[in-house]
Amino acid sequence: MLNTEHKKLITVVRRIKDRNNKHSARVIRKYILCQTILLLSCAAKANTNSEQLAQTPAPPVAVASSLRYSWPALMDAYSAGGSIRVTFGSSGNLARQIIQGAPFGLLLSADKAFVDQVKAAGRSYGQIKPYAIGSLSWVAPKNSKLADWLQRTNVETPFPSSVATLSIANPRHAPYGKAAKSVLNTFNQERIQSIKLTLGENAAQALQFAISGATDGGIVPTALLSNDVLSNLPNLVTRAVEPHRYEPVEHVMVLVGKPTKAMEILFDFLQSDTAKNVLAQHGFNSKENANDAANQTKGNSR
Amino acid sequence: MSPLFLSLKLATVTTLLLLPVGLIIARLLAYRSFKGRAFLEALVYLPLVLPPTVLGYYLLISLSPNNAFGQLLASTFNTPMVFSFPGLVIASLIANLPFAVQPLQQSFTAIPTEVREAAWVSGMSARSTFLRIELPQCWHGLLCAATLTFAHTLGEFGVVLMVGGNIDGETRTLSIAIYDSVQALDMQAAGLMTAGLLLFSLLALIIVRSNGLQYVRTRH
Repeated sequence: MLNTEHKKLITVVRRIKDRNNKHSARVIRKYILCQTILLLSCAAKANTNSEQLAQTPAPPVAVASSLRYSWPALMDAYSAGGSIRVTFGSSGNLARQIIQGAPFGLLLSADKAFVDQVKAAGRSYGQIKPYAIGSLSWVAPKNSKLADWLQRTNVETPFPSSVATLSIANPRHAPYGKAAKSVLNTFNQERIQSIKLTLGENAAQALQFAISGATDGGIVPTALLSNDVLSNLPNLVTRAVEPHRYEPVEHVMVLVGKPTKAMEILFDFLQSDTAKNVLAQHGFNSKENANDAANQTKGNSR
Repeated sequence: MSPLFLSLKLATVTTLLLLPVGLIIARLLAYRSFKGRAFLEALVYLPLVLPPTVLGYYLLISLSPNNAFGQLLASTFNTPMVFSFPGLVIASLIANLPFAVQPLQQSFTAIPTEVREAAWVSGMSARSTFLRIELPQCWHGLLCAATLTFAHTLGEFGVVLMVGGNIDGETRTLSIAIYDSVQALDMQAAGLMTAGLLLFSLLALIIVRSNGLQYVRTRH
C-alpha cells in the first residue's frame, strides 16, 4: 500500500522534474545575469565617480518655497547658466535636512534662525548674507467670507466672525507661517481662537490650500502672488497685510558644505543688483526699500 | 534624471535585490519551525501596518551621518545614506519586504509536503529539491512578489520623503514629483503623472490577480 503510494509520488516528482528542469535552470541563469549586470554597472559607476570627481555636477540648491514663483525669472537672469537643480521647501525643513546630511550646496532661507542652526551644526561655509525681504498678503477665493472683508476699505474692521478656516504655513518650521501667526495674534483673540488653521507644509502649500476652496482663505507670502501667478488664478481676492501687524520676513542665505565654483558664482549673483531687481519685480523688498517703507508708515501714523 | 526614470530605476533595483532575500525568508517561514519564528514573521510583516513616517524616522535617525553607524555606512560605500539614492534603496528594501515575502510564503506552503518528501526519497538533495521542485512550483508567487514590489516601490511616498527628501535627479521619485507639482500649482503635470501611476498600478494588480487565478486552476 505504502509502496504503491510511494511509486505514484515518485512518478509525479519525475514528471515535474522533467518539465521544470530546463525552465527553472533558464530562469535562474537569467536572474544571475541580471544581478551581475546590476552589480557591474554599480561598480562601473563608482569607478567613474572617483575618476571624474572634478566634473561632478553642481549640487542642488535648497530654496525657501516663498521663492517658488520668482525662481524661474531669477534663473533667466542668471548669466553663468548651467542648469541649477533646486528643491523647494520650508526653511526649517530644508535646514533640518542639511544638518542631517542632505547634499545641498546653498541654502536660501526665509529666516535667519534656521541658517544659524546650520552654522552651529558646522555645515555652513563663509558668511551669512541677506538677499531679500518678504511681506505677507491675505488671499481668498472670490466668494468666500474672508473675501468680503478683504474688499472693505476700513482695515480696522473687526475680523469677520463667519471665517471658519484659514490656511497658513506651519509656524514651527516655515518663517511665513510664524509671521502669519503673529498677524492673527494682533486681532481679537476670542474670535481668532475659533478659527481652524490649516497648516501647509510650506508657504507654497499654504497658498495651494488657501485657493483650493476648502478653506476660507489664508495668509501667504506676497511673493507667491505675483502678476504671472494671479493671471492664471482669476478668481482670487488679495490684499497686503498691514505692516504693523508683523515683522518683515528677512531672507538670508549661506553656502553649505565645501562650496563648488558654481555655488560661489550663484551666491554672488544673488547679491547682485540684477537679482535684486528681479526679486523686486516679484514682490520682494530689499533692505533699503524696506527701511523707506517703514519710515513712510511711521510718518503716516504720526 | 527624470522622476519617471528615477522611479523605474529604484523599483528595478529594489525588486532584483529583494527577490532572493524574499525567497530565503519565505521558505524559512513556510517550512521551518524554530524559536522566535512568530517574532521573525511579525518583523517581516511590520512594514504593512507601520506608518511610513515611523519607518522613515528610524531610517533617518540610524542612517544619518551624525551617528557612528551612518558614518560607517557612508565611508564604506563612499556615499551618504540619507538624501541619496542608496538610502532610498535601503528604505525600499525594508518597506517592501512583506510584499516580496507574502506571495512566496503562500506558494511554498501550497506545495504538498508529500511532493517534497517524494523528491527526497527519490534521492534528490535539498538543493536540487529547491531548484527543481519547489522553485518551479513557486513561479507564480515569484511573479506576484516581483510585480507587487515593483508597483509598491513606484508608489512609495512617506518613507521616500523622509529619508530621501526631494532632490532633483537623486531622490525626486514620481510620487514626490506629483506632490511637488501640486505645490507649484502645476496641475497639468500632476494630472499626467497621477494618471500614469494609476494605470500602472491597475495593470500590476491585474497581472497579480490573473496569475493567482491561473495558479488555482492548474492546481485543481
